[in-house]
Amino acid sequence: MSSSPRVLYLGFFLPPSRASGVFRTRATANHLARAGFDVTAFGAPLRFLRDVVGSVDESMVDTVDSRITLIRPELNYFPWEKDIRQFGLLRRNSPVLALRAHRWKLRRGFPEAYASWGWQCVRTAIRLHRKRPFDVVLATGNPFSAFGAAWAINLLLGVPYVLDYRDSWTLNQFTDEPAHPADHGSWRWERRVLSRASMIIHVNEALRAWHAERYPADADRMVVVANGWDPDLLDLDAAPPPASGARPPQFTFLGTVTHVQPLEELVAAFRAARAHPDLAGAQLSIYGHLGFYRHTADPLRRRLGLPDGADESADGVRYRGAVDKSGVAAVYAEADVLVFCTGGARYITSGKVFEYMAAGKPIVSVHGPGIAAQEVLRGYPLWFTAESLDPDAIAATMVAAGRAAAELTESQRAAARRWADRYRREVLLAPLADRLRELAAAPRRWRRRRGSPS
Amino acid sequence: MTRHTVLLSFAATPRPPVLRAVHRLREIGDRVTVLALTGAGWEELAAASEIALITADGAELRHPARAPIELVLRRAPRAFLRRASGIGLRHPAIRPVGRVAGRLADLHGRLYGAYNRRIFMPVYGLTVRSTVLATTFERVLREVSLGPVDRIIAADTLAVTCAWRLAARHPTASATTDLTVADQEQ
Repeated sequence: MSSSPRVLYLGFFLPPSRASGVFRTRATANHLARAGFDVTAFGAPLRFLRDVVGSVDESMVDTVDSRITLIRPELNYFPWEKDIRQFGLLRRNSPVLALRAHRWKLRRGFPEAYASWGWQCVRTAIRLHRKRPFDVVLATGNPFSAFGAAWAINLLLGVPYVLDYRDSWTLNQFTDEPAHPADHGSWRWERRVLSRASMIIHVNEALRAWHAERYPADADRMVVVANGWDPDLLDLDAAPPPASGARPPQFTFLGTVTHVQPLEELVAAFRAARAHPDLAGAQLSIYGHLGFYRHTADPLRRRLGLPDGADESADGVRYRGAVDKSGVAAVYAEADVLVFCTGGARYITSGKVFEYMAAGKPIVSVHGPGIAAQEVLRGYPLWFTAESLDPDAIAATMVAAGRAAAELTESQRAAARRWADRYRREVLLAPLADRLRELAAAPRRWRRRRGSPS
Repeated sequence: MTRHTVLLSFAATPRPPVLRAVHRLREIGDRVTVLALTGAGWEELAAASEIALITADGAELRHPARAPIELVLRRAPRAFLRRASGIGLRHPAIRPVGRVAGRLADLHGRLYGAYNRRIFMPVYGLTVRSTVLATTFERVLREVSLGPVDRIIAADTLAVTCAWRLAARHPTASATTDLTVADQEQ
């Protein structure tokens, strides 16, 4: 029998999901497996990813470490099932009663649509634990049912747990306001799950501070593990060199386009920047999915100035479609300037910014001032920011970034990549692995409550 | 070929997302038939021939699940008390009786209204109303031919039972509660 510490990882968005949370979730599971843990990971059911969310990247499946035991507990599809022919007897004959019963269950149980997945995780964990006990549980949210499941497992089995907040649960990071009304069950549950957690992880200092202020009794167990970039997904040295010869400057956005991004400002700024002689004929290539759902694409296209399914506008904006992981390095290689466009305010870091820095190219910021991503960009030598969303100001930084790209030397690029090296995922996750090992090794009696010997 | 979409909206008046969905369906070229309880909120679209509107005006109240209750608790006592009040007020000898009957008629109206609002409708709406409406529209649709149907959309929870029965009669049609189907197709 293996003597490796046995960790249960509750990470809903594991590959083939292409949700933004998949990168941290996948990297954490892989890192723990490489660090000698015996990892059992619970992910979302494939039917949910393929039929409900409708967005998967099958190429990501092969990037999950083969030593990880991946299990996909089922969930109740009530909130997502739209096909009336699939409705059960109660729902098709008494739909109002069925809906009321579903809402009652959410109010009485865990207040999230994914609650059934959480309870299924608990059942599956108990079954597996009886065969061979888990030493520690790591849960990542969203969905926050993973946190509820970790809490329940601790309550029933005494296994200590760590919570990894990829997103905030009760804070709307985009508006800086509470995400739920004051009487919503999320507040009660958040307090409950935090009280028994051995460690609580946030992705940036702003989020840690917000939670520490709101839950002072748990503040001493809150730490920051920033997002990072994954060298195994971004082999920049293997990418083909950009096409030789004179060509117009290439501005590139790579990532998921979402409704919270300042797309109108981006397009207006790029239009203004192209009027400058240095950027004559410049192109802004958008790579990635348009939204997380099928029906979100058209409104986003319109906002990018690409109506009626057009992929190219007279302003030099081009939609180049989604890129699978094998094509990402080539996209960075082709780019002259990377456009970091994101929504939200001071609590937003964005996972993409780390990959952008790793590419060692000039980065131009298109976002509101004061967002958390600036913490990491501030030391990056090729960062260009207007500190505002004024299109003319952004246009000026685009021109400056374009000029820097044209004059970029190898030493400048190396310095930029050295800065990015501190955000390699394995560097950032190493302390987490150490802490999990400590918790796993702690005597049983420590684990009953918080499981922390410190 | 033009696709025929039947949209069922059983709210008192159509919600804005439902109206948006109808506009989007028309934009992608669908022929749209709307099944609604009344014409309220749909008049403009129907008048412009953007949609074919089929309503069940009042038919729900004539359904066997509602008609006896309506008769015993509302219509019969109201008719009796109004008649007694009218007769009493016309004959000076029994005018006090007429006045009492008039007051009782008012009281009955208020009590029935409160009962209907607070007890009957919540229970009825929660349990059998969707079935009653489905049966009601089955009767209405016996007299109106829908022709071939390609897509059925239940725009609110109450319409699900009717949509499901309609889907059973049109086995090749898609049946959904998703109001964004038109957005997904364009």
